[in-house]
Amino acid sequence: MSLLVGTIGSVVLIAAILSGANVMVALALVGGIGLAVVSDFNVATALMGNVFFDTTHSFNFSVIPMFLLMGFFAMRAGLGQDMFDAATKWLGRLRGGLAISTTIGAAAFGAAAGSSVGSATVFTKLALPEMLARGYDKRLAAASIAISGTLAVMIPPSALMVVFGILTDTSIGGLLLAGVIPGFLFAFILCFATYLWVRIYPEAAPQMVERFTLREKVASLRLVGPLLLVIAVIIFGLYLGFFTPTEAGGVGALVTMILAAIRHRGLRGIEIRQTLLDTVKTSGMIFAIIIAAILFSKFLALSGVTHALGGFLTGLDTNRWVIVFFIVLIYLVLGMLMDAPGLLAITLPITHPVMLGLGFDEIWVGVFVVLLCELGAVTPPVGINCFVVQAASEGQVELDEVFRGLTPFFLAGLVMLVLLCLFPEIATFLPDTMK
Amino acid sequence: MSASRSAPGPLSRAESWLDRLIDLMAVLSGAILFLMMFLVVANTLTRKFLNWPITGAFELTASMLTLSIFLALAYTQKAGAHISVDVLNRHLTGGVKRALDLSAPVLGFVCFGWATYACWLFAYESYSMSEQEWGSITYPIWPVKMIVCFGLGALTLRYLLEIGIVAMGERQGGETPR
Repeated sequence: MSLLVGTIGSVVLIAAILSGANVMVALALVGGIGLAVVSDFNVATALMGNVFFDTTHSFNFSVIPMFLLMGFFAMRAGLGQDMFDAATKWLGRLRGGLAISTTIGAAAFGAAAGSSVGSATVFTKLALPEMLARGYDKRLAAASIAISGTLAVMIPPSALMVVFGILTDTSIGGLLLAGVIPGFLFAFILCFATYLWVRIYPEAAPQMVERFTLREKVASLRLVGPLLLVIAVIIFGLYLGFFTPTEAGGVGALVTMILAAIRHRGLRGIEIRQTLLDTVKTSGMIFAIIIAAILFSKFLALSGVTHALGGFLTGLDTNRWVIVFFIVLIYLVLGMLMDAPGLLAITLPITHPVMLGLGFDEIWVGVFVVLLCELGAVTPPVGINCFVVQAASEGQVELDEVFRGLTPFFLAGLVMLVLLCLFPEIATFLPDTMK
Repeated sequence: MSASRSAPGPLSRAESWLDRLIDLMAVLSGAILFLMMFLVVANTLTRKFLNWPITGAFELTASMLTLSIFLALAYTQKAGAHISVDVLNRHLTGGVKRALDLSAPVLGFVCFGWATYACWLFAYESYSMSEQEWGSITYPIWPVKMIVCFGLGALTLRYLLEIGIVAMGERQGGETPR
């Protein structure tokens, strides 16, 4: 009986979300009503009160608003501009150099911002006009920005990694460190994909004619240097056990605020009030999703669906990679329809126990799933980064041009997935050796 | 948003009053977050370099997170930041679309109304037993739980007003108030 209720609940949830219901409301209501049916109303109500309070009353989970604050200050500080300028001076003369500079700049900016959408917005404003003015193919220009934006959710500090950690009770510090090597490796693969594109179709990216002296190149690092130092301190601080993730986030937020204040010659230019409002708004959205997902996963666990489905999949007489293949398909299909936090919220209660049951390392699973979310952010029809690039381009590119340009980068993402499966140490090496 | 609109109706006016309160709560939430950042950094520095962590920093940070999240929850809804998928919805027209538009605030009201009730019971129990937060400092935790209830209540009230506004035709579902 409980199993039937759990199954019906899951179907209702998917139907409600596809009908346009607020993901948080759908998860919480299905979870709450489901709990009331399989136990009783009072138990469900008591559990609800507990989950709403306990999920937010945590020092460790304070890392989410700290990382978000750091990202919003990084945007106010114009750090994306600095990163792009420096990358352009060093790499701009390569074939496809501006697109490659965008990827490198976005990877470095992602290390400060942690927001895929934010990074895509910033680089559309910065890099798209530059590339189009120099005769770049619109598809290459727009798609390289959309995919590079996703690097922010892999490279620490990543709020999405923290969401994964909270939903699955996995070490947040370990997850953050696990994203370092895959994040930069993926950036390198994207640069290589751009290079290949331009080798095959040289007309897609005319070579830059300006030359920069070594003095100019070194000078470009003057502004990005402090930020790179902060990022290095955060990553090494986590690795050496000097910081907890929350402390790293707090220090990162304060330092980026100071950098922003230096750039704007005072606090007025940073618009602290608006920055804080942006941060609490996004924090509220993320925590609402987390709370609702926890309620829903408790319902699934109590109804026996998690156990039954996990037992069925792990008991199949088949290679575990076949099951992983189907999980990848689920993420890619659902990733086409919803944003990453919602995707994690509705899938992890099922997929996470299955992946662990199949013997995968929990940290590796985190990196794998976040990479799938990255790819989901650029696949039609709801590839959120593509919408962001199109909207921020103010009519310079059409949505279908962004999507059409993404094919080689999506294939690069699949290469990254395969590498992660073949060499899991890419993700697990740093957390395994952390102090 | 529709191009032309007559003077706002009584429910829309009530909503704009509520929105002022919600904005104020969001500013308070941001201020708490800002203080939290300084508290976290100060505690990190004193703990690492002076071997003298700030007493109660760990517990206070946890409570500040709770306050910051729930004071801003209604603002998140007001700003339209909650995630939804409109693949199907944007292709609909007429009565079905209107029903779906109205269902969003109705479901939101039921969800957060229930959550407010649940958190009220939780907070009232805490108040009845004068529950304390125990750690390196001790302080009453029930006010924090009451704020959770207050934040959820504001969100529930906003959904209720939205139901009335859409049902009375003062605004179409999915529109953002002025």
